[in-house]
Amino acid sequence: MHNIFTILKKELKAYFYSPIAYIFLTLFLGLSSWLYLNTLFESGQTDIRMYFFYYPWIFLFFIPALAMRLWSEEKNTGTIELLMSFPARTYELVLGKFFAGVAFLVMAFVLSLTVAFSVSSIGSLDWGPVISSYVGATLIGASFLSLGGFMSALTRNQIIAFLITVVTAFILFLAGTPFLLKMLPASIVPFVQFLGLGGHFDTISKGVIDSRDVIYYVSFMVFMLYLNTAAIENQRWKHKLGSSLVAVILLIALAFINIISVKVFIRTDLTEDKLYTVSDSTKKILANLDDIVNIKAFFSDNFPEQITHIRRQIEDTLNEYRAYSGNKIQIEYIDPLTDEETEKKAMDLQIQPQTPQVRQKAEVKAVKLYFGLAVFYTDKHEVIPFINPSTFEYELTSAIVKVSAEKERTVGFLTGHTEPDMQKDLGAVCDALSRQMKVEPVEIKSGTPIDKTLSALVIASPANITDTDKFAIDQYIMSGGKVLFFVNAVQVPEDMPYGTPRKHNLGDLLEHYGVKINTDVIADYEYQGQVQTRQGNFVMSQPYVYFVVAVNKNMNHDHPVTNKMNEVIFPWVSSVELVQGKLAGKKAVELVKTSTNSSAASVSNGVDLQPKMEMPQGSNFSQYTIAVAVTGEFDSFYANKPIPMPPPPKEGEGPPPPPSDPNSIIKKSPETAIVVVGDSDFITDNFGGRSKSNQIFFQNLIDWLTMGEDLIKIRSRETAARPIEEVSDSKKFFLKAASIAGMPLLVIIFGITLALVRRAKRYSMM
Amino acid sequence: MINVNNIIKRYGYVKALNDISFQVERGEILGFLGPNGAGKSTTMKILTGIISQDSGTVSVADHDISQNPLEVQKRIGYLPESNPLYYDMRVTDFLKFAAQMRRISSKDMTSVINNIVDSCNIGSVMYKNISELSKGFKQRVGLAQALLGSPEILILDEPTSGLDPKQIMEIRDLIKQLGKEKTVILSTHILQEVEATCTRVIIINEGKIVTSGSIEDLRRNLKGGEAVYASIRGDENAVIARLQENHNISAIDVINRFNDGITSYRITPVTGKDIREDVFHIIAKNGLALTELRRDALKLEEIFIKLTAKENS
Ligand SMILES: Nc1ncnc2c1ncn2[C@@H]1O[C@H](COP(=O)(O)OP(=O)(O)OP(=O)(O)O)[C@@H](O)[C@H]1O
Ligand SMILES: [Mg+2]
Repeated sequence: MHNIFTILKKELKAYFYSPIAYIFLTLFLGLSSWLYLNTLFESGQTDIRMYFFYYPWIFLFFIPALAMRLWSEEKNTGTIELLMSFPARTYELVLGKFFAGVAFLVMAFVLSLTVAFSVSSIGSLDWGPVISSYVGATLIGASFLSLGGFMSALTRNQIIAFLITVVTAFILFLAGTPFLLKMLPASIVPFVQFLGLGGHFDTISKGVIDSRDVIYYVSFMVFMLYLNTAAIENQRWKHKLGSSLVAVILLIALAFINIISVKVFIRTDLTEDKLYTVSDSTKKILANLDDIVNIKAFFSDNFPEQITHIRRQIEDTLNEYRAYSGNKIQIEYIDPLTDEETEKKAMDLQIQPQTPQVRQKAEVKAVKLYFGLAVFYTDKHEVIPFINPSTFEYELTSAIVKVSAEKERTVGFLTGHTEPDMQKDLGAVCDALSRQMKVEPVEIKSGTPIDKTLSALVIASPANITDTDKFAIDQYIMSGGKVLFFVNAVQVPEDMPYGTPRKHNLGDLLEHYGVKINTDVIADYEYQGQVQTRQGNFVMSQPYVYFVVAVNKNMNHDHPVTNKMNEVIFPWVSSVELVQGKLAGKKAVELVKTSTNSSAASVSNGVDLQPKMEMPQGSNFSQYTIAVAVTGEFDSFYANKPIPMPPPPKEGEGPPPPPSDPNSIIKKSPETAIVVVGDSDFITDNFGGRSKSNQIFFQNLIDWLTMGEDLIKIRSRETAARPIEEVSDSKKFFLKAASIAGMPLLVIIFGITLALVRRAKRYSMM
Repeated sequence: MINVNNIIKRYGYVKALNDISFQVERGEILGFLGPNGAGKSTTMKILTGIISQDSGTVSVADHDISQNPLEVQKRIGYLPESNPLYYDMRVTDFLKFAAQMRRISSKDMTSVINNIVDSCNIGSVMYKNISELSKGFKQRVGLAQALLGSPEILILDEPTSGLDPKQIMEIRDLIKQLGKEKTVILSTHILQEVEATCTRVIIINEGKIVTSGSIEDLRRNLKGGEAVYASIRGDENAVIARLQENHNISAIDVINRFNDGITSYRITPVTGKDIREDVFHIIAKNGLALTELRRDALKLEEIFIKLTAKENS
């Protein structure tokens, strides 16, 4: 240990007392941050993987340059004899030099942190992948170093050592990339892929530290360090035969360890949202399964090499499902292409193949791929026709929830009050919902209560709600029903941008529950959508402040519905307020707000909604709440009121229904919840309904009300966008300059200072 | 202290050492002599554990070098041939590094280094890069490194090569000084060096020990007895002719011709005879003038050349 450390210190000093360190650091820091920051602002996301993407490529040239001197120089100057005359073992010398290189690399990484800090200063950065990428970079860098050290031990010529290392590293690195893999016969592809240094870095840099990758890199290093030691030893002691034998045994042992590690492994997912791990919600759902769930995975065996890793990733996930279910989940893999009968079975289950174009041995052809699965539970089954890896967990867990749920969820849409039509106007969101639950229209027939078994009721853009309707809604809530009020307080005709109040008649009812809808329309001058206006023959797109875009920082981060939501658009939205006096014993949360640069215009007397180019002078800007949720036990609006009488029946509609029995009225609800949004256009096809984020926001609301929070948490992972804030050009310039030029400059200044100090000391002694 | 038994070392087809055996006792200063390529450095590298012999055994202080190289290396300070040093390091950093490799505790570090800096007289260059030093100072730094941790044995491969006469004297004095407490093995081509510093000599040639012993032993054992050096004024041919008549004289070589008609000769006797009186009488009898007459002991150079030449033939 002591000797290793002594050598380490000496080698590290050697780097810094010669120009190598400064040339390396300057080029490495400058080049890596330049390549990345150039495209950062265009990409608009704080994704730092592109930064680390360049690392192995830079390492391919830089690390051989760091390693080439390790032994060649000693051999060339003869100092190796001095070194070997010290009472130290050869492996100590080898390790000392190796760890000096690693320590130098780590120092370079510390200096490169400016890039991560720059990015985190202009957006929310997920530090997990940053940490794992640095771990991965250290591993791949150290692997290159061990290779370079070995090559350097073979020759006294540094240039030759450098060149051999670059070439070998390049081959080993490329072995794991699709570029090389597609030129190989399929049977050896997984093997070559595993041997390649590059592929392992990919998995680590996305944020998952996996024992398989770590063990692979460490094995590589151990082997190279052994070869390095043997190369030096053989020049001292003649036992070439013995050391080759040991090398072979070591290689077999390492291969064995790796074979086992592929089977038995642990992994930590460092991403903030645990993007690559089965989530707690899924675990909870799996733990509560009370009967066997069978999964038939119809995966064809003809996956092109380039995407076998996706298949492996899915298989890993399935294995985790089985483990967390306590083996209640049984998985059967079936290749539908084995024979026609099997393929027919897949077809019957609606498992659909896809036929991507694949390049194989220089020819491009279409390959028929099966990559779907079916989930069976008792007599029910659910199908995922073709797996999309990025939404796989949500789809699989909801499939399991659906087949194992006691009863299917049903969501009702209130009709009969000029609400948007479920097919014509709400097609997109209803489509999305109907994959998860039953969706049906609900009509309030005079005097009959709303079906209590509805999982939730959507009241979108109602007009002229009557007292009997209100009574029915109130009693639905009192019986534990959950209601989403999407109230349009503003009426905007189709052909004219002019807003007037809309008579929804729900004001008093909602106020009683603790929420006030203001008769206003919000203009957001910071985040807004676009409208197209026609001027003569031109169609122009321009920002439209009345289409409020709610961004993540203005959403409630503590609520599962909104904590990962971003960019939900609310056209002509009205502000809503919580009425504190009415909320005793209930829990009310503000879900969505506008930006702080918003203004509210009253529509009581009508308001012009023409696109505005400029921010109006002198308005009061502030932040407005536009969506709230209230949970708790609600008191009936009609607790101390007479029950409203249904209107007399019209001609030919039969006898009037009997009035409700005053004693049957429910005065207090069990624990339940309502949601109030000051807009309904956000779910209609013409406005927000086709936007993916709007759909997810709506689905999140429904899922939260009907299924608890578990499933929402999984879904929200899909949407975790991490946008970069608007930054001024001068700040952009500053951030770029700090990383690209600033750090290298500091390094150079440090080097010059050190040289000057040493020089001064030298002459002061004379 | 050091036991070398029958070592053989090959470099490919070159047999660098061919069955070498010798012992060194504590307190000896052993000189290693031999022409270029004789195998001196090879022997030293084997003794310091840098390379291994193909066969034969080496033990130092009862530790076999193949079994226990670290124990051997701990006891040896080594100055490699042509004195390789880390040129990018400063003298002070280099000595600290070497001291750490020799397991000198950080507590003693300063005093140990200061002592050695004083005895090698390198205090003035401590903060210079080694690359900036003159050859003599580099040599001293190399020596200082070998002395760190006061090893029992010093192995110095050509310690004075390339130094000026004054520095050579200084280093020799230093070695003699060290030889009082330590065992020293040094190799050299300079024979005065052996005469001046060593208590014993080993001469090797082509990987074999030609001879070994104290310097006096060597001189005595060499065939040809003791020659006489004479300067004689007079006709050269006549002188040689007269001298050859004596049965005790086996050879006459002209060594030098001086301007004033004086010629100097080396006159070699038949083994074991003292011929000084004979020479005096012969000269006097023939009316020649004897200007100088003395015993001419064989120089080490001559022994060396004789021995190695004999091997070559
Ligand atoms: N690394 C090597 N590879 C091959 N042959 C070598 C090597 N080192 C030495 N030799 C050969 O071994 C023989 C002995 O070399 P060695 O260096 O021991 O001689 P030396 O007595 O030190 O000579 P010198 O007085 O020139 O230093 C020589 O013939 C030399 O060519
Ligand atoms: Mg030599």
